[in-house]
Amino acid sequence: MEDIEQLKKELEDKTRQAEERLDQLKYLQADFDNFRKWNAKEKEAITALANERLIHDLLVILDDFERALPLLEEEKNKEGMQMVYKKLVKILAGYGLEPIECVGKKFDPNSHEALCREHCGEETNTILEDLGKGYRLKSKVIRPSKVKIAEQVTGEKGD
Amino acid sequence: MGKEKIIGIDLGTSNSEAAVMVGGKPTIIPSAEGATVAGKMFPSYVAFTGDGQLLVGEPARRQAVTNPEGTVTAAKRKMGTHHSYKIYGKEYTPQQISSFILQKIKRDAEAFLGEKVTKAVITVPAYFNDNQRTATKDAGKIAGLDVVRLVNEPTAASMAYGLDRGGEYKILVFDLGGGTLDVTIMEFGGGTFTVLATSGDTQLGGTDMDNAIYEWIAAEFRKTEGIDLRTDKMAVNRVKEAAEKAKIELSTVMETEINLPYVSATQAGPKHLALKLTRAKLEQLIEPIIGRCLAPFESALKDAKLTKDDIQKVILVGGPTRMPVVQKFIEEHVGKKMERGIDPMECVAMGAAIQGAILGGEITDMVLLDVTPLTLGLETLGGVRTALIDRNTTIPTKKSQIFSTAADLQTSVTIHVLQGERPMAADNVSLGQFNLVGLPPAPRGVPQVEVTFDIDASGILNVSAKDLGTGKEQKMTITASTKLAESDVKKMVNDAKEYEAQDKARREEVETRNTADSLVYTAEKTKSDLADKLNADILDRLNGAITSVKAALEGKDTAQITSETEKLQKVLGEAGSAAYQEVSRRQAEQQAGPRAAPPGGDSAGDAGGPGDENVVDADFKVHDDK
Repeated sequence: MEDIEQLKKELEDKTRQAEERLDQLKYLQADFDNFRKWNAKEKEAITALANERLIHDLLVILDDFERALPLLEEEKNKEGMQMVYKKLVKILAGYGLEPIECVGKKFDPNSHEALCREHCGEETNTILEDLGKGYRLKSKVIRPSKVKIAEQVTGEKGD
Repeated sequence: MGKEKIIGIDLGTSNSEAAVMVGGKPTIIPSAEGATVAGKMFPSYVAFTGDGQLLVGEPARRQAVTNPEGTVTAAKRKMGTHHSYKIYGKEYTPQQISSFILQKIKRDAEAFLGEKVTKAVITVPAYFNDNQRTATKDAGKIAGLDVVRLVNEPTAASMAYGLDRGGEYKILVFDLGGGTLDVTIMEFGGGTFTVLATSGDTQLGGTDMDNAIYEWIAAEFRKTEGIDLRTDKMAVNRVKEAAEKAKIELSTVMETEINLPYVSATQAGPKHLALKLTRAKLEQLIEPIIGRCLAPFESALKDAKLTKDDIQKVILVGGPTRMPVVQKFIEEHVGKKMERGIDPMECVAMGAAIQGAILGGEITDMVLLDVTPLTLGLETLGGVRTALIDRNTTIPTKKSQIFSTAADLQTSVTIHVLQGERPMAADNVSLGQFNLVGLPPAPRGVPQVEVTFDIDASGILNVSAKDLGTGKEQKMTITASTKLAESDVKKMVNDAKEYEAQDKARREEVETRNTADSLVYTAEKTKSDLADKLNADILDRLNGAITSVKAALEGKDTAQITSETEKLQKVLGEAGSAAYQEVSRRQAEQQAGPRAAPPGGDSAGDAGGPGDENVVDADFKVHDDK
């Protein structure tokens, strides 16, 4: 009789153990499945990000064009360069790139980065100057505008 | 699923970072502002705007210059003190400021994981006292996070490198960040890390290096162009960014160019900045900064009452430790024992995530997965090693592949189990071999022997070979397949790299021979099958071609074997189409409808060509049992 009790207990133990393991296995399986889904999402994000990085790195070329063009003196050279520049802008715009508006707008740290401020008659936090053009890619800021903002002098607040 | 994830947070002085276990691996949680703008990090900035808006992280950093009175940074330095930040009439404790950053991390982590996050492990410097630790915990509480544990930053970094999995050693953690240097010496043993000594410099880091480069660029430009860029805000910003970029680039290349077209202008026209910066020059520029690392380093060793020879493991933390000159400094002063492989900017957060997963019960012994250190395979025709399980495959794992015989009427095959990275069997380690006997006699390539490699969770390899025709099976168990000294594994992997070209050539040679040999076999078979349908001319040429290939196989000239094989292939193709033409000619004669020959006659002959090639493809023949 004792033997039977013993065996019963052992069986119970083993059954519980088996259930536990099965439970663990189910969790693991679910985990794996979730991981697979997460992975697919991540892959999408990475593809998007890869473009984002490339476009972000190309922005300096746009900058250089914009600095160079106004300074080109010979009209015939300028025209050709203009065309190249416009083409580049168009291609990048096709990927969803758009410049961030700034001068005259109110400073917004979500799209602008303030480099300095100037005391003047304008309303505080108005953007006075664009010191480095910012860009959005499909509504996400990939490079904030570098700006100079106004600080109104009414004698109310110190420096 | 089921269990809630515990995230790991590296709450830093100038930047914070978070990670979480995903699919068993610590993964960095990107900030919502995204990877290109601010990296994946969260700048440790909190700001209140004049109109009462709260900004945290990257946006707060962006407006810091223009809103200094409303912006708080480096609140970590004030944790545990009675300091109070007065902002626009309101007062905030350092805990509250830190909690804003933690809240933002919590939010972004929830977006990243797609589930609620309420628990976290947060790291603190090893030298933090009770007050500072309590304050950090409180910051978590305010942010709505249950801080399940605080972990020392150097401990977290060590865990990211897996140093918590047994053994006993003294560890030096050299953490050089953007603005601070922390040197920690720890001892690991009996499952716990004990801090022996800490030292550091709270005003030393990567920013100092960037400034040194910036000053140099500005000075160079003044020398050549006579213009001081430091008065022009826009230029200053461009030069500073270029300086940091150059510093990062010079960790991987020896020389970089700093190109800033139209950086300035004079009456004479636009001025461009084009400078070459070599790694040597950079190292010269930052030498004084590196020099300042020495004192904290030595005092840590002294406080721990150790010498550099007592240190067994060195861990580097922080972006600037990627610089070769910093690594050289460490090597010179401790020796070459640096742990590598994890991004030094991410390892603290990753270690915290690992600790979180352990506390959350996500990591148990059952899921501590191991990998096969080397490739496992078997020897096939011509002494080639055919891989079944590639190195770095996570175990337990199981793989099967079907092989066949290499000779007619072969009744047994030898399964020779190999471990290693080299393509030729003889260059790998033999783990053992066995024979599967009693295969029914059949032409070569006909029997199907399924070989299965099964590695269980404890690394025991079971190899079985089963003849699918008769169901006969033979097995072997190898216990030592994953237990190799690390140095052996390294040597074998390195050997494989070193001999790669040579091995490839040898393997190709064997494959050429195998193809030739197989084609001769096919040709002879075709010849006897089609003997009555081929005319004497074709038969002659076929015999000639077969003899040539055989002769070439006697020698060692691979090019000759290839060219003779190609010739034989061509003749064989011709023989095939000739045979089919002959067959259709005879059919046409029999049917007495001389014009009824199907137009497909020729193309059927062509189809015989590729068919033959399929037979030729004898890559996976089990090594002949001699």
